[in-house]
Amino acid sequence: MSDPAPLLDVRGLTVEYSRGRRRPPLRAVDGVSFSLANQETVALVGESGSGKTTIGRAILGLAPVMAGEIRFDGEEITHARHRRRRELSADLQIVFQDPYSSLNPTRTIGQTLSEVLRARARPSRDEVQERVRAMLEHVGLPADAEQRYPGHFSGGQRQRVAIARALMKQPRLVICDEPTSALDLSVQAQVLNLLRRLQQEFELSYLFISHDLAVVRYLAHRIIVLYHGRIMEHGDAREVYTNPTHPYTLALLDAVPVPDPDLQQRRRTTRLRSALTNTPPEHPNACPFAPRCPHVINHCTTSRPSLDTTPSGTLVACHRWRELRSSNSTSQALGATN
Amino acid sequence: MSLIRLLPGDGEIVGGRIVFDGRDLACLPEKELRRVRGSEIGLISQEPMVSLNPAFRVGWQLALSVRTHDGLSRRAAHARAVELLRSVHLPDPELVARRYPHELSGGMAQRVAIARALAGEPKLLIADEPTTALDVTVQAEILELLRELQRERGMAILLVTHDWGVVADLCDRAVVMYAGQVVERAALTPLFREPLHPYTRALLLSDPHNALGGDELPWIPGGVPKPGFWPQGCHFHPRCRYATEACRQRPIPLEHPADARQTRCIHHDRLHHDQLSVVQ
Repeated sequence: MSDPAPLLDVRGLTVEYSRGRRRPPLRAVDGVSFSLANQETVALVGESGSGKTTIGRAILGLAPVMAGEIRFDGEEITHARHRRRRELSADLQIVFQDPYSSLNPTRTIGQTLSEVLRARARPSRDEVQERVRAMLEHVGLPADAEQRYPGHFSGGQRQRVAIARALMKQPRLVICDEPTSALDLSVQAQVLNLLRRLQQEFELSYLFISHDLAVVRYLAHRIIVLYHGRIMEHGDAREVYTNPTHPYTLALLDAVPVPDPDLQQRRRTTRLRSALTNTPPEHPNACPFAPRCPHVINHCTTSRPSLDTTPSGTLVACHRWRELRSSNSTSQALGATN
Repeated sequence: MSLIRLLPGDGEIVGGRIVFDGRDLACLPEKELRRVRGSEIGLISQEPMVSLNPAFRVGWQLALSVRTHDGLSRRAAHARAVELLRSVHLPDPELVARRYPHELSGGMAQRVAIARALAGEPKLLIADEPTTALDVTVQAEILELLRELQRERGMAILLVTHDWGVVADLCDRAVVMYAGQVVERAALTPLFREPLHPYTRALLLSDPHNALGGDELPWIPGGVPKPGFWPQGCHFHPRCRYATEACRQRPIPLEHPADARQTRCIHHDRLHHDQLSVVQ
């Protein structure tokens, strides 16, 4: 986890949005630290309002960072100036969730892809053409896509175009913000396979933002579970998925319906019933999950849990993780205690 | 959407029948149809926010639905609206009734939409991807709510979804559609254990839930053809690994390979033999 020279290193990242003079600012991300090695995929998982998209935006310089530090390849880029940001965009790219709004409908695919190359240099026409064609082939689009407009393509094909655009300058880190959540199941599988293949071909690192734990398990090496802007659990993807420690991770996994009617029926009966309230706790130092947590004790509502390392190497922010882990060797039993 | 004749634009039912409670909705006059919509068939849509009018308070909108169906007085309708909000387990329904839609979270808005669909005490609830826009924990709550309402009211639910997990969670039977046709129809367990149409099978396999990390996800080549570009013969044959010449030649009828099972595939026997190699 502590790679000697991480590609991306985020320390104590805190992002706040102003809500006008009368109300205190909204803290979207609260003291988040993690790093990302070369050719690694780290997933940010959480529900809406967890701050996962904001972290991606902060890394790209699109969100107001109040505190903390973001280092890319050793260089501090937290408050990089406009000029430096433009240079960084060759190494740092993003694929957005919605392939319908992220592509300019009035430009052909060829124009969209080649304008990335022309942004800073003046490559020859032949060179541009060749690189566009090569990239279309890499992402599995027909060569005649170059002359066509986005309107001609389906959601999955558009997402391939968006991926191609992100890869044109051969970046080192691609932030994928829910790249498949707008796609059909069979097309989602195509795009996930593509992302995985491209990671090897182009030696990419991915910061993968998603709410879908099944997708994340398939693609990510490490998973970071966020809730109200804070890290709840952070560890090896398989470990977090099969042996979750934090009550929130468990609630999240239990809530996903599995595509097996008999198994799903069994899961349903043991599922933890979460409270309706999704309001942040009143005490500023409380654990953010305390109002919904089935294992909440007084201590949780007044003191913020630290991010502890468990024997299996995952990081967990919960006061009671030791008890919960030892009293529940099987994850299903945890839900039944409710 | 054609079930309650709310087809967009120039859409028109050109053939077939929709028998609901003994009447054919496809040729019912508009006036009688309006009585069916809402009061006998309720609808909830994918985007709860879009289905609510942002300019009016939630309680007012619900009361309007109630009055349309029951002709209650203003005051009684409001009381009934609050009652409905309580029945979908919204905390503090009086307060929610005074709110505008933008003040609600996605999950709360979907509960309000469900409450409104229940205003006419429908016998059938059509839920069009009711949880697609919601977080998983909220999705679990909404599915629980739908199950409870069904149990209490004896209401039928027609769920439209692309999520196998949601199907497994809520449904008794499933009808699999591809390019405008029913391709398979079965009870849930046999459908998941032993799909008899190549499309159902491929779609189940491509669900990352079923994938073991490390391997390539099974996927279906190509994309779903748009209406008007449906191929000759079986609509799925260009993407199907079982396709033969016979699949290309003429339309494939629905076959009954087993009790209470239908599949639009002439090669379902071959599929049958293949199952074991797929399920670990």
